[in-house]
Amino acid sequence: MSSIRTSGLTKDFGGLRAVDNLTLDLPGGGVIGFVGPNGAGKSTTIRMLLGLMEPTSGEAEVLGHPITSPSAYLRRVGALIESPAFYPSLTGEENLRVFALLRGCERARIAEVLRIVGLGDRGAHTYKTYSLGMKQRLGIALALLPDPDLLVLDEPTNGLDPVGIVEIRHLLMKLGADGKTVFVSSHLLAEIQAACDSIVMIDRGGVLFSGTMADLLSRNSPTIRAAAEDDSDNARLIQLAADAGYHATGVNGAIEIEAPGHWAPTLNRLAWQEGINLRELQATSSNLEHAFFAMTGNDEKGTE
Amino acid sequence: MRALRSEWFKLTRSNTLFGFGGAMVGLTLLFTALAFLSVGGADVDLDGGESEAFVTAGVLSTSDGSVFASTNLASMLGIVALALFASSMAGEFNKGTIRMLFVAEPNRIKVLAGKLAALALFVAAGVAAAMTASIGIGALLAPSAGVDTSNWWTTEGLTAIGVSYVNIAGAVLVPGLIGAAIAVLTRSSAIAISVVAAYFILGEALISGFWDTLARWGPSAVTNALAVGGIGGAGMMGGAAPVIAYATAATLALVYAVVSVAISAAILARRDVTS
Repeated sequence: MSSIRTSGLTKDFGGLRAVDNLTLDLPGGGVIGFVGPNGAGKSTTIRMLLGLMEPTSGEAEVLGHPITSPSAYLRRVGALIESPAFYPSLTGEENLRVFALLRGCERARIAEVLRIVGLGDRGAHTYKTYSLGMKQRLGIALALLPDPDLLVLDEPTNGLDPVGIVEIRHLLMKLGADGKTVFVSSHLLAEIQAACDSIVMIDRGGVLFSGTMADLLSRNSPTIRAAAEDDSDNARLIQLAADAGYHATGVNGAIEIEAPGHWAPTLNRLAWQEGINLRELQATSSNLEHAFFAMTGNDEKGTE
Repeated sequence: MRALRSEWFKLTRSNTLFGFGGAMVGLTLLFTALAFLSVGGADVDLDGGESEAFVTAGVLSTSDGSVFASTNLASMLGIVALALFASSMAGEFNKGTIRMLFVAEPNRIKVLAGKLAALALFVAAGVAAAMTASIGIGALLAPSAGVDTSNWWTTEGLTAIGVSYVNIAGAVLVPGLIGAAIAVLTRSSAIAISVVAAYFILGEALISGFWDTLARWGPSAVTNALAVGGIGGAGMMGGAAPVIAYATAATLALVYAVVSVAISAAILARRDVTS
C-alpha cells in the first residue's frame, strides 16, 4: 500500500504557487528522501500532508486516508516540521508529557524515546538550556512518541554534530528496516543518499524525480574530467574518448567524458602515447549531489 | 479531555502557577490590606475638600464585607486573566507549538476547547485562592481596623462569599475569552493584551462619554456590574459603573463569552498553520 499518494496537489499563496500539480505515489516501508532547493515547496507539501494547510486544488492520501480527514491517520504519524518547537520553561520530559497527554500515549514511552535519541540524562533539564542539536533530538523524540507507522521529518539533522548525524542516520535506517515509513527532507544530500531507499526531488513546486535512489543514480553517468597541459590538445582528447566510444565535451579549458572511473588510467596512457601531457585527470562517481544539480538546472557553484 | 489535561499540565508548572496565580493572589492581598489599613480615612478631593470615606468599618462589618476587596478588584483580576489567556493562545503561534499540537490532535476544536477549559479552570482556581487569601488577611487585620467579622460567618455571609465567587469568576473570564479571540486573530499576545486592556480600562469609559448606551451593555460595564452582583457601584478602573440588572449583566457576559469562543473556533478551524 502507498504511504503517501498525491494527485495534482497544488497550493497557492496569493499570486505565488508554492506547490504545483504535485503527483506522487510513495511506497510503504523504508526511508524516502524529499529534496529540493529552498522554496521548492517541500515544507508546504509536508504541511498539507499533515493537515496543517488546505490545498488549493488536487487531492492526497496518507496511509490510505484522504488528507481532508487528518484525524483518520495522524494518530499513526509522527512529525518534526521545520525547526523543533517547544515550551522553553518546561523540561524536555515535561514538553513530551504535554504532547503525550494530548495523544493519549503511555508515560513510560517518554523515557523510552528520550533514551532512543540520546537525551536520557538531559530530560530533566529545561528546554531553554538545550543546544540546537539537543533541541533537534527532542523534536525527533516527539515524532517517535506515538510509535508511528509514518515518520515525517523535516531537516532532522539540522544542528547536529557529525556523531549525532550518523546516529540519527542509523536510527532512521533501522526504523525503515523495521517496516516503518520514514519520509525525510534534508539539505544534506550525502546523508539522504546514505540513508534513503527512495527519493522524491522537487523544484518550483513540481516533481523532478520520484523513484528509487539506485534508479536516480543510474541516470547520471559517472564522468572523468581531464585537461591537457596545452589547451589546444583538448580537442584531441575529445577525439580519443570518442574513438573509445565515450561522449566528451569541452568545459572551461577542460573536457568532461561520460565514462566510468576505471577508464581514467587508459585515457592517461592513450594521451601519453599521443604526446599529450595532462595537467588534470579526475574521476567522479555518480552521486546525489551531481544528480541534484543536474536535475535542478543549477551548477555546483550555485549559478543557474 | 486529553487536550484539557495536556493544557492543565502546562499551566500547573511553576512559571505559570507562580506568575499568574501569584499575581491574582498578590494583588488581592495588597488591595485587601490597603482597604483594611485605610478604614475610616477620608478621600481628599482636588479642590482640597474632603469626601466621605470609601472604606468604613461599617461597610466591612456587613455580611458581604468579607468580599468587599475581591469584588472591587474584579476588573484587575480580569486583566490578569486576559494576560494569561492571550499569552497562552498567541504563545502557541509565536513558539510554533501550534503545529505540533494540531499534528498530535488534528481536531482543532478539541484543542481549543481543552485549552480554554483548562485556562478557565486555572482562573477559577486563582479567583478562589485570591478570595480565600483576601478573607484570611481581612480576618487577621479586622481587629486592628475595628471591623466586626461576626457577620461574615453567618449563613448570609457565607452565601455572599459563594455568590460573589461565581460572579467574580464569571466577570474575570469575559476579558480572558475576548483576549483569547483577539490573540488567535492577531497571533500576538502584545496586541491582544494591549488592545483589550486599553478598552476595558479606559476605552469603553471614553466612548461611553459620547455614546452612553454603551455604558449599559459594553463588556467592561457588564463585567463590572456582574462582579458586584448587578447593583452597579465603583468600577475599579473605569470610574462609576452604571446600574445594570444582575440578569442582564449575566446574560450579556455569557453572550460575550460565547461569541468570543465562536470567533476563536472559526478562525482556528479554517486558517492554514504557517507558523
